[in-house]
Amino acid sequence: MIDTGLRWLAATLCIAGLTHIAAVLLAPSHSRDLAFTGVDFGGTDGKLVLVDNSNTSADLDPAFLNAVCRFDDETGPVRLTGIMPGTYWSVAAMSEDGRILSTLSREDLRGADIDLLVGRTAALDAVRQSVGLDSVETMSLPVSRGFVLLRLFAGSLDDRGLAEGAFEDLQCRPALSE
Amino acid sequence: MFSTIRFIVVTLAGVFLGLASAWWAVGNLHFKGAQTIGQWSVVEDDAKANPYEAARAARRGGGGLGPSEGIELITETSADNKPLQAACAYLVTGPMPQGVLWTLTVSDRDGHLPANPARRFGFTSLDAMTFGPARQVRISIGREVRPGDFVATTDLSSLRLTLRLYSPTLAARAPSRDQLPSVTPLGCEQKDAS
Repeated sequence: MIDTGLRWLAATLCIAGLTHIAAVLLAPSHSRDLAFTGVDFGGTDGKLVLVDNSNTSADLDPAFLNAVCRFDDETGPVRLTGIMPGTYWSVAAMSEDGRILSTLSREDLRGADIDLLVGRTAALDAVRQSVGLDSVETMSLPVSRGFVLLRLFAGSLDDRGLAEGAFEDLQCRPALSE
Repeated sequence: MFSTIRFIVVTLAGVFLGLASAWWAVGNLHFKGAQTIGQWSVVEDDAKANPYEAARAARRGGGGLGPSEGIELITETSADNKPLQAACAYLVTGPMPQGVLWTLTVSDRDGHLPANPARRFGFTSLDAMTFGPARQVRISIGREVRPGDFVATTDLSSLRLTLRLYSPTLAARAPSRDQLPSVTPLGCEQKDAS
């Protein structure tokens, strides 16, 4: 009887161990898919989509206005353009599973205007040649699908007003459609 | 029949135990590979060296800071190395790195923000009061309103503090322990804290 009980206990612990290992190893490839893939990008017409804790599971800074646009095989590289406020802002390119691939801050781009091509390295070369965008800053990525996340500091009411104004004018369109 | 039921029970118990232990381990175990500064842990978005750190990063949902943006530090423990409790009040006091934009956010361990009418989720370098030549901050956190800079944690079931420092310089060279504030307990609500 005791032997049988111990056998079942050992079986329970073995199953628990395997489940534990599987859960820990599979978490990165599953839970991060939810970061931005649940955001509705339909009907944005070149606008970025505002994200906060109501429509994303990503752990974003609430003192910032955060907005994303998507790029994939269909859109190809995207071109992000707009006039930015004098407060802190940054751009992050993320893979589909939410990993940060590349980032640029206001200091890196040295200016109030943003004009940035984001996409897979080979596709960016093709865009530069076909559309003649040699002088535009680029964010070369190892993937062709992902998200561009823009963070604009909006810590005070004044900053929020500036960030919202800048957000209204921002455009994120497929570079080849221009 | 009996052995079939026993098989099902053992399988379900094993799966439950495995999932529960994984959830607990990801939330509570910190391994030596993780970079810490005092009571603050550096959030590494691409933490691959350790599967628990990678799972912890995944549970936060992504969206962390990249190297040219700055660094993100979190703490779920107080200066006396006890877990932060939502039923307790704390004081975040001490210096902040000078000349950089910083934000301090109060949330639960899953990143949910406190629901308060003022939409006050934390403080930033632009709105926090500072004291003395070292420009030290003094921010209290808890369920009962306190004077000075204060963040209400009324509906949170757990507590986590996230300090984001927006500076590529600091991303390359993390601040030292004496450049960061500490979190000290101020007291707990008797009925919830036990």
